[in-house]
Amino acid sequence: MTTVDRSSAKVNDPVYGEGYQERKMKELISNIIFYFFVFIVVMFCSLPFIWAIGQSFIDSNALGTRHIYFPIKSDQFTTFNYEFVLNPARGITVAMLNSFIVASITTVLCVSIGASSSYVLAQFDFKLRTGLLGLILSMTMFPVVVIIVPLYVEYLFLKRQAGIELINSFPGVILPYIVFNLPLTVYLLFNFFQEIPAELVSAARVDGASDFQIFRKVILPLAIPGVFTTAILVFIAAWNEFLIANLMLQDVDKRTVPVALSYFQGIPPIGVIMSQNLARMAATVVVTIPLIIMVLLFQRQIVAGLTQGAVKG
Amino acid sequence: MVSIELQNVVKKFGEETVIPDMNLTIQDKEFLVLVGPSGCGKSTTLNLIAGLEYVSAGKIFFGEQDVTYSNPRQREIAMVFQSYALYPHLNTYENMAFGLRLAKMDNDEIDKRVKEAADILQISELLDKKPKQMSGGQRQRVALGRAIVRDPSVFLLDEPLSNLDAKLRVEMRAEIIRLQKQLATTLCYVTHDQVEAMSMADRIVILNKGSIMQVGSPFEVYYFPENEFVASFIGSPQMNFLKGEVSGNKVKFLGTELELSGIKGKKVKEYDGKSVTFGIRPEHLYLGKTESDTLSEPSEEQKEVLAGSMSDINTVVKAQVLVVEHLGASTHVMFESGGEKFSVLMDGYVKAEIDDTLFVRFYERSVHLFDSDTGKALVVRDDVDTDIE
Repeated sequence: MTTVDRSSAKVNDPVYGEGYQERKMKELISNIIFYFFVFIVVMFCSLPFIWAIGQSFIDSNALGTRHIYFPIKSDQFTTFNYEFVLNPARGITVAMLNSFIVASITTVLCVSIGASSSYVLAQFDFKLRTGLLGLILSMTMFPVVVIIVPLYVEYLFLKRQAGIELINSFPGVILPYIVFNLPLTVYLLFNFFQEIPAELVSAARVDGASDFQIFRKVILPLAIPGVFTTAILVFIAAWNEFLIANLMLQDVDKRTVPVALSYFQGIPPIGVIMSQNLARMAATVVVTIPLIIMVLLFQRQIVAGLTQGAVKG
Repeated sequence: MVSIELQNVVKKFGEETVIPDMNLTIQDKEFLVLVGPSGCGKSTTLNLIAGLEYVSAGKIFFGEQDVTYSNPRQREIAMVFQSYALYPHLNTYENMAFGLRLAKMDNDEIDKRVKEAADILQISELLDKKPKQMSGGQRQRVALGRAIVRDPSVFLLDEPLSNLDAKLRVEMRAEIIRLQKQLATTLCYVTHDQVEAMSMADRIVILNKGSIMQVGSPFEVYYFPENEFVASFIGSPQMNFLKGEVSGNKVKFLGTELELSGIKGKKVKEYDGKSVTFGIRPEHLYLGKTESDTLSEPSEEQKEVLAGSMSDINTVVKAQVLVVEHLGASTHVMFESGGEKFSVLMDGYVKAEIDDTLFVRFYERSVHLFDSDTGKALVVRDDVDTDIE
C-alpha cells in the first residue's frame, strides 16, 4: 500500500470535495462574526447587572477617592453591604416577602383564569368569539397611568360606600395586576391551546371525559410549557410593578420591592462609615435573586414540557 | 354489539348544509365503509354516529335506543382517528387505560384488559413507551388498542391508515379485517381510498355532497353502479365515459354501433333518438393488432363473473394510442378516437407505441349505460337475474 499525503488529499478529496479548506475557512469567519455580535448584545444587556454585583461587594473603607468597579484585592472585598441590606430594619426583606405574596397570588390567579378562558376561546366555537378575543387584547392598549387615578378614586368610593378596604391592602394591587396581565396571559395561552389538535379533544371525549376532565387531564399537561412561560412573565411583571404599588401601598410594612427600593436610602447607622451607593447596589442584587430562582425553577418545567412529544412525528 | 340506524339525518354548519337528508342502517357485526371524495360528509357522518357532533334534524338509534342527543360516553363507542390522537404525555399503557380510569374501573381489571389488548395487537413490549418514541405503525396499533380495551358496542375508524406508508397500509388493512372478525363487533370505517373500501367492507356506502349515492357490497358497487358518480369513483383507473346516441336497441359511439340485447336492449329502447352515457371499465377492454386478434383475453374467472343473461358478442373499435404507461403487473394504454379519450388496462406487458392504431374489443356484458342528464344507470342490480356473489 502506498502512503497518502492526507493534507493534499483533502483538498481534492472525493469525500471532502474541492475547495474543502476554503469552505472551512468561510465557515470559521462567519462563526467568529456571529459570536462577536452575540457577545456585544449579551454584554450590553448584562453589564449593568454585573457592575451592580461587583459594586455590592466593595468595602466602603477601601474606596477612598478612587473608582473601583470590582473588588480585586482581598481588603476591598466585603459582605457588609449585604448584611446591612438584609437587616430587617432596612425594610428590604419585608418588601421581598410582600412582593413574593403579591406576585405569587397574581400569577396563580392570572394563569388559572387565563388558562380556562383561553381554553374556551381556543377550543369552542361560539358567536362573538373573535370579538371577545379582540376585546381582551384591546385591554393592553390602556397605559396604567391612565387608569391609576380613577382606580384610586374607585377604591376611595368603595371604602366610603361599602367599607371595602382596598387601599393599603394586597388585594388592592393584586386585582389591577390580574386585570393588566390577563390579556397577555389569554393571548399567549390561546396560541398554545390552539396548537393542540382537535382530534385529541375528540379522542378524550370518546374515552368518556367531561369538558373539565379534558381540560385537566389532556389539555393542561400538554400546555404546561405555555403555562409556565406565561407564569414567569406574569410573575416578573407583578414583581417589578411600581406605579400602582407606589400609590396603593402606603404603609412602610406593606411596600413591595420596587417601592421599597425607591425609598431605600442606605443611610448607615451612627458610627458606621459606608457608601450609600454600594448599599443600594447590594439591595438591587438582593431583590433580583428571587426572580432568577423563579425563572430557573420554571425553566426546568418548560424544557421538560418541550420534550414530551407531539401527536404526529 | 348493536345495529345503528340514521333516520332522516340533517347536518348543517351555520348556513351550510353538509348532510341534506340521510337514511342509513348499519347491521349488527357489520363492517361498513363510508367512502367518498374529500368534503363529501363522510367524517361528519361518523362524528354524528360518535356523538362528537349533533344532528340538526333527524334521529339516530343504537339498536332500540334513541341516542340522538346522547354524548359519546353514553353511546359506548370507540373511535380511531387519522392522526391516531394518542395523548402525547402518556405512555402506551396509560393511553389505553385512560378511558377505563375515567370509567373508574378497578386497577386489576384495567391491567387485565390492557395486557389482553396489547397481546392481540402485539404491542406488549411498547407499553411503557410514549407516542413520540414509536413509529407510525406502532402508534396505529396503540390507537386500535385504546379502542379495543373499552370493549365498545361500535368501532368507528376515521381514515386510520392514511398516515401510513403503502406497505404498512396493506398490512394494517389485513389486521383490521382480522380484528373485526375476531371481536365480532359492528365497525364503521371512513376512507377516501376506494381500494381500502373494496378490500375491507361487507358493505360500502358511497357518499357525494352529503348524499348517499349507493349502498352495496363491493361486488355490487363495482359491477352494478347505480349512477355515473359511483361508476367513476369505484375502480382504478377510472371507468371510461363516452357519448352514445340511441336508435332502437342500438347505441352509436366512437363511430361504431352496438346492438344491445336482453335487459339492456329493453331499457335502452326507452331512450330511442336520445343520447346516453356509455361506460366501460379500462380493465374490461382488450387490445388487438388486427380486428380478429387480441393481445389479451379475459380470464376464465372474469368470464364467469361477467356472464349473465347477456350475450357474448363482442364489439371492436379502432383507435390511436395517445400514451402508454407500463405499470409492471399491467399496462395502461390511453387512446383517442373521434375527439374522445378512453383508456385500456391490460394484464402484463403490452407492446404498444404512441400513435399505433390498435383494435379495442369488449363484451356487451361489461357495458354500463347511464342517463346523460341525471347520471342514473339504466340497468341496476335488481333488473339483472343473476345469483352471482
